[in-house]
Amino acid sequence: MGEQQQILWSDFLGKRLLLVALSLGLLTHGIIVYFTLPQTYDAYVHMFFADHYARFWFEPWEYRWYTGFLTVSYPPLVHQLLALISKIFPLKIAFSIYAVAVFEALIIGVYRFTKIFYSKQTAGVAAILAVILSSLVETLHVYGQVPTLTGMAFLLNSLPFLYQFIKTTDGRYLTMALAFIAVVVSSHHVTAIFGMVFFIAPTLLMALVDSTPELGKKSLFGRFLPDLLLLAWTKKKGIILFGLATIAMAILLIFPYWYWSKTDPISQVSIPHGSRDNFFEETSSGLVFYIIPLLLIFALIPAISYLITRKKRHLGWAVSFYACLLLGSGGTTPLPKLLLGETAFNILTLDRFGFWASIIAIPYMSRFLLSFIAGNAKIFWVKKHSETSHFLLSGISGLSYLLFIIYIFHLASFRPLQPKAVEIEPIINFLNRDDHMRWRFLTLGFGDQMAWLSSNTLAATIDGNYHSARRLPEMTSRAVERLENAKYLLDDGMASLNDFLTKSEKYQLKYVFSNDRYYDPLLFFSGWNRTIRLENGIMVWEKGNISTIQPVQPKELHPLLKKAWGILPVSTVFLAALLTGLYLLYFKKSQTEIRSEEIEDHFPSLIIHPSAWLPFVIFTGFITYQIYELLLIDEFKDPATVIYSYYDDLDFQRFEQAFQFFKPGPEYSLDQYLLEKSVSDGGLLPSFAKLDSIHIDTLRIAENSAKMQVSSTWRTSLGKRRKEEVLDLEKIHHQWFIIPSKPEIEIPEEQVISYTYTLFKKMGKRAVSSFPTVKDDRIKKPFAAFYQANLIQSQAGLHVTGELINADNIPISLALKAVLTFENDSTATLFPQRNFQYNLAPKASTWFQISLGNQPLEGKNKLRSISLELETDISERGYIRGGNLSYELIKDSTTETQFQIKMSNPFTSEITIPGVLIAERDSLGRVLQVDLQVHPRSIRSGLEASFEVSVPVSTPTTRVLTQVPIQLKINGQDRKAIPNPSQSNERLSLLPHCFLAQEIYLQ
Amino acid sequence: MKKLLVLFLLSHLVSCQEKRTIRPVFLQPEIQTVRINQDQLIFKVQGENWSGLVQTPAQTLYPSLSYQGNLLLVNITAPNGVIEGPAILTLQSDNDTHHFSFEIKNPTQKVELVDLRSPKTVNVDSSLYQQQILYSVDPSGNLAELAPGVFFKENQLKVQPKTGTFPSLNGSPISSFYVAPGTVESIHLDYTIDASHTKFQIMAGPLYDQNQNLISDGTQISFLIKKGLRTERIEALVRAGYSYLDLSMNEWNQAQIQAAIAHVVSQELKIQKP
Repeated sequence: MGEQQQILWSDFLGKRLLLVALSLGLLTHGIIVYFTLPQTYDAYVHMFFADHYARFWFEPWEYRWYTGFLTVSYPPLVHQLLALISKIFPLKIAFSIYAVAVFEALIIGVYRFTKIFYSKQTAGVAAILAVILSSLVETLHVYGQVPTLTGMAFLLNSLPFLYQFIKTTDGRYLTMALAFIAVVVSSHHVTAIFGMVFFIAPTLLMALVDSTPELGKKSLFGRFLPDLLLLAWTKKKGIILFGLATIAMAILLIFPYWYWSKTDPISQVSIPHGSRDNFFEETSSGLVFYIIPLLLIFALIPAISYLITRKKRHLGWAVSFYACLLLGSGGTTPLPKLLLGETAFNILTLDRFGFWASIIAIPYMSRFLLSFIAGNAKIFWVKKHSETSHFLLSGISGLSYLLFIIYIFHLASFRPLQPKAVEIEPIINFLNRDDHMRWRFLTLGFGDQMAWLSSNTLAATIDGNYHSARRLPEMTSRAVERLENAKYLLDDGMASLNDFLTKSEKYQLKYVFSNDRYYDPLLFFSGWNRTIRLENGIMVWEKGNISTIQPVQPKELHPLLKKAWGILPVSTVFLAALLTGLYLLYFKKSQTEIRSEEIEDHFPSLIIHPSAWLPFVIFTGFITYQIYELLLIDEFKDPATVIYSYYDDLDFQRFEQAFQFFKPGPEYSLDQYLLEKSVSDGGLLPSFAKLDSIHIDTLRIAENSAKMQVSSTWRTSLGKRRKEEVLDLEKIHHQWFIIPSKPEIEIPEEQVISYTYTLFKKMGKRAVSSFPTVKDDRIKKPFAAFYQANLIQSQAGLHVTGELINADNIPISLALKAVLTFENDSTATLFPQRNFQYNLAPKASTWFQISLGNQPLEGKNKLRSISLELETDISERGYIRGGNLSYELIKDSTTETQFQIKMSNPFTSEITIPGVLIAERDSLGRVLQVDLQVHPRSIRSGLEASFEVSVPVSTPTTRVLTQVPIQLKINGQDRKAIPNPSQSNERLSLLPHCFLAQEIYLQ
Repeated sequence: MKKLLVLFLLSHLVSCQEKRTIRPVFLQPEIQTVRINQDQLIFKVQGENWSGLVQTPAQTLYPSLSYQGNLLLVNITAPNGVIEGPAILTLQSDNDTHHFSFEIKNPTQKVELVDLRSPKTVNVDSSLYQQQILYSVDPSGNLAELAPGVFFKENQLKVQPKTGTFPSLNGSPISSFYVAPGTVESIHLDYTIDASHTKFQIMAGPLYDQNQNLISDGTQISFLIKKGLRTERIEALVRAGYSYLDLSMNEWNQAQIQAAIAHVVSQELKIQKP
């Protein structure tokens, strides 16, 4: 075949392959994306932004998250296009349609991009590779990052125009290149910024070298670089014009974004991201952010390295590729942090660099694959080995790669990224009725579905899923991504959540929708009450005495900027479409078509062999390992493995799997195990905890038996708890099993237990009207009274303590706060945390403690006065605070006092978390400190539990301060403390304060 | 030229002439107040292409129109009544609009007495005085006179210190007011021994407030039981003026018990086997 015929054949094949790629893309991603998007990290966030534009196109202030933020903090194009499509289709379908359309544009982009490297046939292979490239598949189906894909699709489409412009200086190419870059800028600013460095600069270099073929033949360290600079100088007008136009567009098109960045810079504690981990230490991060997207690149790295360093036209791409590969390795080496600087390193998610490396690698991989499938590499292989080995190697490598891609599609099933789907309609109905939208809400355990909920309601949440825009100090001061997944963010997450749950009045946070009972203890002991379980199983927690949402002054943006934000970015895509149409109709046929003259098809043996074997080894190895991990791992091989596996199953409540680690035999059945578990295992640790760490010590090991001590640490919403357990194991037929221990199960004396509850029911609005409550339906604020309030100074700082009583005949909920006023007239408001009972039965009393921290007592800004403000409200149903409490002093030293507590349960449901509120008084009966202590095991009906509690004794330096006046207010009116003749004269007093999880009696 | 000038002047004259309209003639000038659903307004009109609209500061009504010869009969209907007050009837034919002013009133209907009490719930520990405000409204929300020229009455009432739910003057459930019992005055504590001689049965009660009302159900009572170094705190709720507690005889023989409700504490009771 002559050269001309070969070119024609290559062109023909290339176009056909592109069509095949587009069809494949439509058939695979088009079908799957609707089902994978709920499990992605970001799809719902983008849908939320789209919903914003669908509702308020020209208003960038979004009030529904974080008490409000500006949507100009993210380029709007993708969201606005989604908003437009959502006017016709439902939002999820609109997202799917858009995602598929962008993926198709990306396939075309990859095809056109590859054409500047190699032949059209190679570009066709590249297009097919784009359909199944793991980084692209992961970006769409795992991350849901459509703006990144949009930016990349249009950037790749712009590069050939830029290449042509530099080569030919034809202004029409410049127009087209700029039109596409305008879309990139409007859709994803990070792609635009880094694209200039990693994609546009190498394209310029390649075009310069290609425009003067002699240049490529010069020595790299000789005349090449000086001549290249000289050549660039001769084309300076075009390059400068392009550069200036691009910068001008980048500034003007999304000017409000830059204005926001400048006037309201991000100043928050860096939020950890797996892409910044050391991948050797955090292998799961390495897998998701480096291995999965780049596995094919690693497999073909010999071929890529060979091709990318062969000719000087690839020099820029080589620098970009290796730089991206290095930066994408996150914290594995210190180099990325050194190169990017501390700030950028901590703000950027570094997986995007790996993503760009994979895009740069596409033409090179395609070149080698084409050669190995139907080119010289194949001829070499067949000649050296055999046709059969080539067929088998290609077939098995290809098959295992496809299985690897299927694995990515189902990654969310193997490694759940999100909680199970939550049906949001019952929540929306709840928010719509009875003016519930007048308060903020918070979701717990929803994952990214919280953004989907927000997209479907006008109600506001205090949380949000776009942390760059938030400015609430309780969030920005800690490394917390979202409140709703606080438990995964360890101490910082729980501390931040705790802040919001206790300072709920500050943010008018009244409702919590909980999809994870892990948070129940924290919610309960922070004064939240369960109000209703919705049809979808979500428990609604409510806090009384919360004000309705106060208007927040939006951050103002000039009306002209608002209009520009609503019009300019979206115009770019229409302009690009129009220009593309004109280009295809009037210009394309007359243009000099891009035709790369590089027909590199010779690979040395040193490249062919590793490039052929590595994919086979890596992908078959990966799949084999996954199968092994799923099916073949021997969990019984030694005592430690058995215990780790057993605890893992316990942690995820997989009791049937956990049971298989017990010694098999008729005397201990699954039924018996579950029965024993149900009667001996309940409470904070077994029901509301996640395993944090586990340490196993061997006490004794013989050939067929072992005794192991297991020390485990569990995270609970009330803090970490330790658990010690000794397990006996036995080896049977080369497998180790745990010998079930005989539980000491208490048996209640009674066969039937009765308990007379007094339940209350707040009738609420009796007049059936959607108008505000009529006067006759208003319920009076219940009576309460302070017995005492003291300002205490201790080693830990200042705190306000005291005692108060529900003086009314109905159960009440309480909201207490201390407003501190300083000499300079500034104020600070502080709330009690867990050392307080937020609900009281009629005539019941409680102690309280509000920590004030270290406040100045001297100087011009000293603490002037404290206003202790109590709000009361009738609670919905009533309240039981615990079982019968018996205590005995067993140790009283100068540092601590120890009690033996015995708590019996007379109720018809278990006491899930037994707890006691302990108050220490001075000789005058004034409360010095209040402490809450909980027992990790539940108490079943009719039984009792004994446990010890230690109370640190106040140091001699602890004293009551009287120089700062404390003003008492109840329901807005000034009150005085009333005497309490029944006050105990004991130094330490105890009150039961327990959580009953069963909803028979909603606390 | 002269002819042209005359023609021009004539055409100008015609073009400036205002179209003559004939205002409907209201045939009942003595009617100043129209009763909705009852009164019929009669106008003498030309043609049968009239439409009508009644506007008040609070609502818009669409009257039904009918014709008898050259008479236009206007019936203003509103099944649920109207907010009374000044109204304007607008009659329109083609581009001619005519307005007629009058008062509209509902037909005589039953008015409802509203009895508002503040506070709605009186606690006998506190003041027994209530402020009462009375007024009447018709079903459409119009204030009605309680007596000629009197629309509101205000009374200071002293309620009896007897607990319960009491109907207001209008007897509506939503307007009822409540007298709640106060704090217990004293706690009487006693015990018996069960028939099998295994338990002490402690009884606190009857528990009355200072006005001899039984204290509220659900009131928390705390029993503090001491024996040696051991202290037991049992919280129970009062029901029908009593609260009971069973204690094991073997465990608690010779223990001291006190019961407390709010700041009121009982005498100490020593329990022992007979």
